[in-house]
Amino acid sequence: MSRLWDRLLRAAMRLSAAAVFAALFLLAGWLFAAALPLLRAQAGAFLFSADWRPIAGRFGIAAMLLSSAGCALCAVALATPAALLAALAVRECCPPPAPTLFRSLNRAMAGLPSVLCGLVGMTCIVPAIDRWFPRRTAQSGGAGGLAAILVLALMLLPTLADGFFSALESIPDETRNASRALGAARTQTVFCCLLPSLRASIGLHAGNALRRALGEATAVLLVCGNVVRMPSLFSAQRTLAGTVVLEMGYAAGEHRSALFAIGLVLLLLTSLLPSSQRKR
Amino acid sequence: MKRLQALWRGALLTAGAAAVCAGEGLLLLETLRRGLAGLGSASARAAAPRFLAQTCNTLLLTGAALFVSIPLAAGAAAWLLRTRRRRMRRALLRCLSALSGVPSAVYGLFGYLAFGSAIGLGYSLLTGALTAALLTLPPAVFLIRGALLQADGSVFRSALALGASQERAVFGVQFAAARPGIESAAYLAASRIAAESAALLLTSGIGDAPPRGIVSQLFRSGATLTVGLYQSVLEGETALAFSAGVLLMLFVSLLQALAAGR
Repeated sequence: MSRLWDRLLRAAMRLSAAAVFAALFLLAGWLFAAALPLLRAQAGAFLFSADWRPIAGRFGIAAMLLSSAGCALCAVALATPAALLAALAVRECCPPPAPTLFRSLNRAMAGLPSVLCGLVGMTCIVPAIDRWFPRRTAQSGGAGGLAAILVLALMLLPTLADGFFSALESIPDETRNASRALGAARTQTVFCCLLPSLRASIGLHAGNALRRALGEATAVLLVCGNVVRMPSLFSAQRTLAGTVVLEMGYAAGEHRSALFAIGLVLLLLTSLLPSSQRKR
Repeated sequence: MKRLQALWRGALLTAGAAAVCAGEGLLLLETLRRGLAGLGSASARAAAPRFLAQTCNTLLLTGAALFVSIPLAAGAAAWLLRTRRRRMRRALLRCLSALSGVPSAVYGLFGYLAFGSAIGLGYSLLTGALTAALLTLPPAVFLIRGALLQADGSVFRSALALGASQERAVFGVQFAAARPGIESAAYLAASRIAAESAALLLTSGIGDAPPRGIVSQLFRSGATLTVGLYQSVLEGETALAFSAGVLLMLFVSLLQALAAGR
């Protein structure tokens, strides 16, 4: 009887491990199969043309690809230094209640839905951009690349700050004490001793953030204007993930196949980025 | 010279902290201000049945997704710990980290293809739940694995010494020792699902009919609170969206607090 139980448990373990493998391969394979009709017909035009007109049978994603990559890169470039500096400032230079508060605030904010960032962006950031740059935003009313970048950065900040904070916690106190004992001032310790030892975790967290920013659909949809056009800071544009969510409801035939091909491109893009494997 | 350097370094640190505080404060205060103002209004009262349906959908979908993903994740984590095949283990770890980087819209597309059209569930809460289970599988495996690794190894060895089989020792003893960690993994997975929008928009749809029964509701299309929030923004009902945002904020912080308390 107990032998039977052992066998059953072992089989369950193997089965669930196999399910994880199956999930990845089915995901990639199924998307590829669904994207195949379009890729067979116009793979070159799909990647390199900027002409996206589903009604005319034109499916070129170059503009959306550039817009996705541009917004994600700028957002990460904006949010990473801010989060890093904030984590350093609060963890190293603030009196006791502040670090705990900072950590729990970040934890709570990181769990918030990203749509909420989009919503706040729509009601606060877009009108503000419209007010600050009235001449540039005459056509778009503030929606566009800059708004998307700010919203994405807002979305990435808590996760990044929490990640850097944890990385700082894992640096032993002896490092700080040794640096102080050598006569380094507090800011010198922070910039010359702690910052270099964070290098690996900066790369790791920035990579994860970039992946999240590339794949974000709904928050960006609310603020970037949703016209397929080459990206610029102040004109309306649209990202890859946004297009999938926006058009999936009514797409059919080749158009639907094109959306699956976009999914495949997103999958490839995010898996080509440096891996986030945890070291244990 | 040195004082100048200290000065601008301090200024840099202050600027970073101020930027983060400003960003997070904007998000938090704006949502609370407009959401709480909206909660008492007449339009929010008129939309109460919709909120109720969406809350039910959220709970149902989250429960169903956890019902699938937590056992699977526990099994996979146990396999990762106990297998002797190193290459397979490394392959599984790589596979998991690849899965954890996949954008949620791509999960949505896959869920729609696999569960919606191939199995034939269509736009329904069950399709959404299966997709969400897939979405939370990688982080859940990592968290449960961490919990199992942190659990006291001596109980495991004692169980073996008392004559328990490997499997019995893992599932009966080590899992019991790692229980708080597994529970907190479940709460974190739930908060991730509650915050998910793109994947669920593509799989469980945007229905908001009031639920009649648990089983029949699972086979119908239903929006969760987050999807409902997005939908109300598209309809121009910003005040309603902020009210949903406050509800979500409460729900997610409750889950996070539960996870941290374990």
